[in-house]
Amino acid sequence: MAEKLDVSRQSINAIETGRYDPSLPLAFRIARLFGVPIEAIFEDDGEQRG
Amino acid sequence: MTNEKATRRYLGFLIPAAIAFIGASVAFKAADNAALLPPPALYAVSVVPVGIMLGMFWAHWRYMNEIDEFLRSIQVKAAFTGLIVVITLATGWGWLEFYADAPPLAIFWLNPLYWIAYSAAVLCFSPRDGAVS
Repeated sequence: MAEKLDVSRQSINAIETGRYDPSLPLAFRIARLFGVPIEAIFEDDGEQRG
Repeated sequence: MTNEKATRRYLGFLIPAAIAFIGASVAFKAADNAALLPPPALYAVSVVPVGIMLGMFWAHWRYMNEIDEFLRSIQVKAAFTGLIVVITLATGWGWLEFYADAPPLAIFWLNPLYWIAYSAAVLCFSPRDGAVS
């Protein structure tokens, strides 16, 4: 997955464990890789709190 | 370019450059102690270690551009930590020199101090942010 997204293994690990929020371009690349909308992968914490 | 390749390229430049910087600094001190060169020549020769030092920062800049955004975020935080340590210590010690007769600290040491603080910060932030699994 890291290879397909052209990022490090550490980046994928940090995103999966919630320790790093990816940039919008990377988030779109991840969504495209899975073939789903971006909201299906990432949640807006602000909305959850609201 | 992969992160691994960028890291290899970075360390491949940085380690020899650091050794060359230390060597140039030692040679500079030896030349001064032995009075081999007149002061104007010492000014001219100082271009060598300063050039090496600039090369190290250039390599660091290039590395930060080549790695991915997550690893870059760690590098930026570490570089900023190094800057905070250097500026704070320089200013704090400067006040002590002005008002408390503290022994003068050569500003030469700010460069190694920066690299030590930066390295310590990388070692601290990498596991904390999940870059070491």
